[in-house]
Amino acid sequence: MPPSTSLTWLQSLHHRCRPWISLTVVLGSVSGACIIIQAGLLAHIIHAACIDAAPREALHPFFLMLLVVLGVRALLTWVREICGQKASTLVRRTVRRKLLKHVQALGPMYIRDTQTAPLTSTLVERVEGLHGYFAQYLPQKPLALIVPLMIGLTALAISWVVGLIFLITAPLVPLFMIMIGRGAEKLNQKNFQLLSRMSAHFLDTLQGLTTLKLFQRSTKETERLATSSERYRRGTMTVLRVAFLSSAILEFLTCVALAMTAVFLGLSYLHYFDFGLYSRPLTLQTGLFLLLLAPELFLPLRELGNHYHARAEALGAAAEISSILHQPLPPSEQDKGRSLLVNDGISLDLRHVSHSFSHGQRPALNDLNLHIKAGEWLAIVGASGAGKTTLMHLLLRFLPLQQGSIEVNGQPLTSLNTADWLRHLAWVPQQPTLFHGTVADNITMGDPHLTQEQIITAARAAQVDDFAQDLTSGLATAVGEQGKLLSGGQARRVALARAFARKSSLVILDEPTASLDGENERLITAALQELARGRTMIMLTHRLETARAADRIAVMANGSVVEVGSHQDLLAAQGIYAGLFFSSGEAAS
Amino acid sequence: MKSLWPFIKLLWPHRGWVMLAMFFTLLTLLANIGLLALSGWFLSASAVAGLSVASAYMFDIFTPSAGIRAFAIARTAGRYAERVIAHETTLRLLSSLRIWFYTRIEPQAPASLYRYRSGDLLGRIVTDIDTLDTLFVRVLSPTIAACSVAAISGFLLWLLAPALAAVFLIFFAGAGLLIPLLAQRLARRIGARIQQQMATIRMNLIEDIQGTADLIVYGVHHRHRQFRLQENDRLLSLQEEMARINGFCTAMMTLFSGCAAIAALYLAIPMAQAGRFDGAMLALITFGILAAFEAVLPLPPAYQMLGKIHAAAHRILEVTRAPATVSFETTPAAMPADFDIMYHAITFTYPETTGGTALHQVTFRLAPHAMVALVGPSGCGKTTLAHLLTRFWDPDQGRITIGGTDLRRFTEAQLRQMVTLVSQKSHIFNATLRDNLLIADPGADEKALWAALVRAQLADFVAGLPEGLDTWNGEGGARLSGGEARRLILARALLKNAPVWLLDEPTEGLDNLNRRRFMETLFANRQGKSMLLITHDVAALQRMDQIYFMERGRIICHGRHRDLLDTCERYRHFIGTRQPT
Repeated sequence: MPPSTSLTWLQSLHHRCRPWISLTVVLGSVSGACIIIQAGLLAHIIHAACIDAAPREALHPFFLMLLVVLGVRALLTWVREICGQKASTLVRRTVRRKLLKHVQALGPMYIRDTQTAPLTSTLVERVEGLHGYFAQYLPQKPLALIVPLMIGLTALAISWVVGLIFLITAPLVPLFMIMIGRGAEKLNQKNFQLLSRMSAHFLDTLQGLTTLKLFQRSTKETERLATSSERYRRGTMTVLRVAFLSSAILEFLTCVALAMTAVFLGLSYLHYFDFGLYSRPLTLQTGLFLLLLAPELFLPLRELGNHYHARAEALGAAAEISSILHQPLPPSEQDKGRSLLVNDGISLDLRHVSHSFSHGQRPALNDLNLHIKAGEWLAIVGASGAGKTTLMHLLLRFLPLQQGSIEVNGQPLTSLNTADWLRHLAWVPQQPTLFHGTVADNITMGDPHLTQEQIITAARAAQVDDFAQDLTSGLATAVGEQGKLLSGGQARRVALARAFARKSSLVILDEPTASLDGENERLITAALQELARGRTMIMLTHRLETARAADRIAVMANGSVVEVGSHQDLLAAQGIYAGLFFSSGEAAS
Repeated sequence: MKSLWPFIKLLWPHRGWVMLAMFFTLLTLLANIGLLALSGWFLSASAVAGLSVASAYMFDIFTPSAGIRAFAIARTAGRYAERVIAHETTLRLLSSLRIWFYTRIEPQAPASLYRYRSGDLLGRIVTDIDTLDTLFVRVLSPTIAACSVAAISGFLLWLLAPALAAVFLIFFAGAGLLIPLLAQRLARRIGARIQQQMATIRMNLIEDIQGTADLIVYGVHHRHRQFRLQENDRLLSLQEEMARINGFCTAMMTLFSGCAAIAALYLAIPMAQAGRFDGAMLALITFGILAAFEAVLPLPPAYQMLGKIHAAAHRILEVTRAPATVSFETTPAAMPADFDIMYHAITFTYPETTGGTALHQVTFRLAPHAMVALVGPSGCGKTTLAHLLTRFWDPDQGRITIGGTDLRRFTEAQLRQMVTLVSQKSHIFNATLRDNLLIADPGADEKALWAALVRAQLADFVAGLPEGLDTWNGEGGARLSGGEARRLILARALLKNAPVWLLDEPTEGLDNLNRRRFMETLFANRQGKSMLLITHDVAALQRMDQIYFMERGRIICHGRHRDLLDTCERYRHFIGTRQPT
């Protein structure tokens, strides 16, 4: 994603928070005016006390006004902070909502390809990364123009020399900053890269410490760590020495403006100069006033500089966020379509189904034909890469149908409403996700119609109660963060219980017995027998031993079904299945 | 503060840089005060002098204007030097911190890191160290600078009038101490809640994204999204509350610095008029005080940082202060004639665990040149049993001997020479393939490296890479597939050529084809080695000289695969359907 696109996307969010940003800018401008008034009052008091020898009592009203102005400034600062936060809140709420919705709409296939961790970090950290830009940078940008301009014009009205000093030096700041900043931004990125690489190297060393130790290299590694740190330090410092020039320039210009103002005014008092004041006499009050304004002139620019990294952060975040949001949605996300007519179970008819992925060399499915009768238990076996998973994803409508036809009870699957179709089926994935909540919550998946009794029945049927009894609160035990409390086999049994609890006519199981120890495998196989009753069940597996329990077995190879029949039939046919079965009881690949 | 002391001590070797950085920080602050105060005084004094022509000509303009110029230059140069040197110091400190941590952790590894098995937690240690390295720039330096500014400005004001110094110091302390502490107090609870809410959101989002398929099939993805958005709203409102507190504190800082200048001016006017000091001093005092408050600005974030640093220091010290689990002999024992390995009634419990005993009275033998397998359900103690031979831990009871010599009598070098461990957790470094191999034998030449690759059946793959052995693994380099990674680990072990091999589920996570290939390679290389293999692979089990079946930290039975199927019911049960027909 080129930076300009990220910027465009960021700018498209501006209108969402414009009122708050505008309010922040107004408050900041008023605050700027207060600073000018405060400078005027201070200058007046000092002038009166110093030159006119006015007694303190006579100055009380001015002191009081000073306090009021100060109070107003403090209040404005406070409210500004809140307004900036509001702007950021609005934006982050919208962006997170959009992102979450879009990610869900992109569907399981997209998530599998991009992986959970980067998606989560985009949704959490990257969205947070927008904060500084909207809360601080965006309001400060106009203020960095308005306030210096206000101060500069005020000075210009009093003395054209001081006014010119201000109005010439102030724009030099952004000018130089841009000049240096162009390079500095790149340098900063490089610096950041260097630093993170240094951290990564250290992490890598720690991760490999056991290995290093086993090879007796661990003490030697200290030297390597020292030299690499040293190398990184040198690299980083070369970068920083240039990057810091921009802050030096800001400092330089501030000092120059102040010093020139002071010297010009001082020499004017001493009658060395007699110009630049529109022929008005120069009082101490005017002089001090102008002097006090000089540092304030640069303050908004300095703040903008401080928030500049927020812009960079937001641009980085925008690139990632918008690249997800610009991801086109798959066509299967349709809420239209008819509902499925179910009288007597679900039968499926797959004809000439082919499917290819853009990155695959050969089609994942190639002219697949398969009929699944209502109420039967069909096992689909085949090596990994045979197309089992693609077939499952087509049935679940995670993937759009590219070629051929799939009919459910005579109705084309593509004509059905996705949500309605999914209501008829239950799915037990190989690695089911357990959600935050109790075991029972994970069985019901939030279905309020399930009675306690039904939950218990499902738990018993799926052999969940077998381990739930050992848990502190049985089915009411929380499964822990990401289901940590339960093992892989136990999690799969919970997912089986989900399938039991759902009154579905079709169950799709993905490798229900893969990588389980003997005990879990036995329990799950027992549960499957139970689940198959009164349902159409499609089971993907590469374990022939598990497949044997099914009514029929379909053998897949190279994207199509090559053999179908019962275990006995297939053995008698002495085809691929028989070959696999006799060569190894372990696996079919 | 006590937990920070070890880290403050790390600054000592860099004291030159530290002093220099402090000097420039202070110089920058003082130059700014000087610049404003002197300019104010110069204007006032010259205005007074300018009232009459005579005094105007008497007025020395060169000293003050030279002063102004000097302060301006000092400020500019000081700022630049401060930033460069502060970062230099920080980076040097970071390097020291890492080496310090590494040298602390190295003797007790891997036992102490065992709790940090997951990459996340190790990552947190690295982040913690990065956090700690800001201790100087973000916390110590601003604090010392603020105190110095307070002391110097306070002293100068005290010379003029003690009352002025008192007013200045009161407001200065208020802004530098009171407000940050107040802010911290107000923000602590809300900050903790924000962190918690953030963690909740992250955790639930991970589940939801991971389980999108499950959610869609069960038709609850819309509802789950609503839950996450509600949690998000809660986070946002907490953050707004935090912003109100932060805004309040910023406002108070503005108020305090303004009040300090106003109050000092208020006190100074009668003093000046009474002739205690020159009238031009009024501007000097006011402007100087206004400028001095610059030193206070970094303090509130510094205190916030201090909290984080404290927590990080705590976690780091917890790791480094763990006692070393084992110590090695320094004088080598006689090398054993054969590598007959015996475990005599070993009992072992992991330190700091709530779990029970990991091994109960385990007696076990790995005969020379034998291939022995350990089998059992996960958590039965297989890995522990293997790890005891590497002395990651020592058994609580019983002893392990190699060729009759107690394991503890060998030096670390001797032990590492004898035993090599290959596991799915063996680390492949983000370095070139060559570097990864050279870890096993730094002196190995090109021929030896390729020979090992050939034996590990990885030579064709490496030869096919454009950069061959110099291909970088990891970021920006070749990503090794699971099978290739295991082969590289195998090649490394072959290069080391130890007589005793421990293989902890070396094929876990590989597909069948790669698993079979790996095992074939392994069997082809078994010549003259004792191998202890932890595996579930039935095909491999059939070829073992001896199998030990374990459950709950005990050895249930042992023998050859065929015999165990007949004699050991638990084994048969465990192997279950894995048994070939």
